Amino acid sequence: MTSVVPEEGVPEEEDGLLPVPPSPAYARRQNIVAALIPLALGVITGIMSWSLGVGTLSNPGPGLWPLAVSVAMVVTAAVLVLRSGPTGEEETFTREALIVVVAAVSLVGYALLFERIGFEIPTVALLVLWLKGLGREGWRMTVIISLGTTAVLYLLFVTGLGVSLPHILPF
Amino acid sequence: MDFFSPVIAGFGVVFQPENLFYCLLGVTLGMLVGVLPGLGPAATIAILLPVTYNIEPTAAIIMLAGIFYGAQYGGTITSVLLRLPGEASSVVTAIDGHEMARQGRAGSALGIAAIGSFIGGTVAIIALTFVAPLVAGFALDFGPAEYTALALLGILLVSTLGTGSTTKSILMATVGLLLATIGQDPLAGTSRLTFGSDQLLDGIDFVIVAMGLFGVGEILYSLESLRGKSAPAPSVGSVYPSRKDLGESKGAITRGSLVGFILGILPGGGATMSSMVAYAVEKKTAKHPERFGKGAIQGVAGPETANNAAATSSFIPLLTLGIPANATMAIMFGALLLQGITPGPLLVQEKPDLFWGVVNSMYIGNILLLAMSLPLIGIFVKILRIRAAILAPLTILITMIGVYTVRMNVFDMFLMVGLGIVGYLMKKVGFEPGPLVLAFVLGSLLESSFRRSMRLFDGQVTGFFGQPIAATLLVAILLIIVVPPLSRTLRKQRRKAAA
Amino acid sequence: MTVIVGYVPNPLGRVALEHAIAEAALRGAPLKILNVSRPGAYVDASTADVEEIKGLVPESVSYDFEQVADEDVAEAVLAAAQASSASLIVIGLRRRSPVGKLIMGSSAQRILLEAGCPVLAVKEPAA
Repeated sequence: MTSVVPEEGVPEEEDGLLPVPPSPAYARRQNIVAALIPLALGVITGIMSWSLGVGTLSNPGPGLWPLAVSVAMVVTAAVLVLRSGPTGEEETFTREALIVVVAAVSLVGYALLFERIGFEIPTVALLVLWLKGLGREGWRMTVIISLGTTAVLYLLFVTGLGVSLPHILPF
Repeated sequence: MDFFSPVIAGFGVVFQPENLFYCLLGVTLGMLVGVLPGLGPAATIAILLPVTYNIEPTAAIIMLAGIFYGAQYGGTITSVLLRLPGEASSVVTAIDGHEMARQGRAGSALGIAAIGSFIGGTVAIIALTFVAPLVAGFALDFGPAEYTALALLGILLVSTLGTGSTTKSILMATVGLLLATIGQDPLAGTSRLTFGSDQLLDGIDFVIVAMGLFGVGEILYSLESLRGKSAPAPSVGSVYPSRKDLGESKGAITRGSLVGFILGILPGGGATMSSMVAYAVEKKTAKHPERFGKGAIQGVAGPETANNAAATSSFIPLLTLGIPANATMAIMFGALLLQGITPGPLLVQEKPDLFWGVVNSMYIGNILLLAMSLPLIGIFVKILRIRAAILAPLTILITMIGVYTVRMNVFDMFLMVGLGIVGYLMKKVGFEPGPLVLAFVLGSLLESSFRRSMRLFDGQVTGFFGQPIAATLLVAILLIIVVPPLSRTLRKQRRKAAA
Repeated sequence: MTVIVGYVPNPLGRVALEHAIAEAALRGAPLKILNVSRPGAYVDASTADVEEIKGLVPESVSYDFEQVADEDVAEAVLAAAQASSASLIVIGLRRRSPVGKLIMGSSAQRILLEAGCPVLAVKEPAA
């Protein structure tokens, strides 16, 4: 967790390099959406819990506890919807957030390929994407780190710890 | 001497070469992640959870503990040199520490922080040695009612005392409790909230929640600052504080040890709050309060001593009550469960080797911390040059492969990535993952003890108030809920009356 | 009509800065000091300290200082030169073997080839 202590006299960042404090309207909208999602979730799980059977207080059914938690969740989320004023903790989704989207998609792809074609190729591919594509490292750095890391991971997990990772190299 | 024989036997455990090695490894890793951008101690411990599977329990916990208190010191380095606190617990250190660095006294600030950390940590271990068995003995009589109240109190305190909005934290806690109910009902065996998925029938593994929210979430978040500006290479100078520095800091270190130890025990207190309180205490008791913010060495010594003392004493509620006091301790709790150890009042008696081994390893860890931190500062400064673009893919791969090795299951990878995305979004909209993870860990304990007490009291909620300890804790809970809004309204009215 | 210098906090950078100060005085042109630093790390060796530059430039000389975070040094220098319609770019040139240049690629080479104004390439005095 890194937080930045504001320092006087330092010029503001131009290109949105640091987290940008959003406008009040933006923050308010963001807060409302962020509270509506758990609110909706709470309603759904509340209904599901109810149908599981609540039982009585002296002999609680499987649904009683999840129902109680769902109700608490809906109530706090509702409070947050009502008190949606900016708190200063919100951050704008800038174009840097696109990097996060690409990264998250690549991780899903990694998991999809992991068991099918072994871990080596997806690992190299993920490293190249993150180093070169997201990080704009030089090619030399990218190649060295990608191949080196994959070799180290192979030695560590497959050879060293004896974990049966799906792999294609027959050592 | 019946009390001391297990304590001394614990030293025997620590001095086994394997345990010494893991202690050294933990402290070194801790200092590194404290320095490195983007990863906190909670995330690091979460990421390393799968690795600890293959290590013997005592050694595993010794290593994780080393990471935790080592990181407290590592965070100081970036705080002082760059005004970028690596950890939340070093935020106040940045105020006077960085000012000292600008005056060319970075070395003194880092040196006094290391010495303060060592003293604070050591004082806290000594106090822990005496307090922990007492608390454990007291807690032996706790029944389901007490545990219900205690777990509730723990979750509430973490939500109210933590950073950020209380309502948001409580919402996160309810999400954590709800996630904990996924899977089979502990008593009846009915499957709950699994959405028909067989993979979710066993519930969500704590490792996945911790690694997803803390590990993947923080890494994804750090990707946004790949283009962040770099600072010029700082100069450190001599790291050994002068006699005058030591003399000026004596009082601050003493007070910091005390503040840190006490606040560390309280749920939700922990290192961050104790460092802030210690700073306030120093400012108040100082002969020259006007020097604070302009490079007062007490403003570094006090908080840095306190955060290490608190990091140590926050092990007390975890090891004696089985109630983690903060998010990092929640992950430590998960690590213990992974090893088949349930922390609680019986731990001191049933597993004295583990208990005293871990506690006594902290002496060694603190000595290692002091011995290594000062000579190695040059290396830490070099580490600051590692770009996030290189660090992020390496850590994410260790996380992805690590989570797979737990159950050899790709579903866990998907689940972790999903939780990681949730963790990233939470960070963007100002929700803390700490209360969620803590509530998730305590969820099943809370539910089962609540249901058992309801049976015991035959459905009468008032039954809780028949148990003196449970009643006291519940009154404390009520006070926490009622007092802050009440005092806020009172203050508002007074201000209105004054205007 | 500006003299722009690519400054890096090392001996070569300081030599380049000295020449740029002299050239600016000679031409009576405004001086612009540009520092291109590598983004993404806490600390970077190519990032200049504002205080340090203050100490390097004589007090009588007025100058404009800009810090850009970019991986591509050549691109950043060329863009800044164009933006301030520079009449001269001053850069430091490392002594390197032809083979070294071939492998590493060279920001200096790109600036020399693509700049729209004269470029003064300064070498570090041999020890």
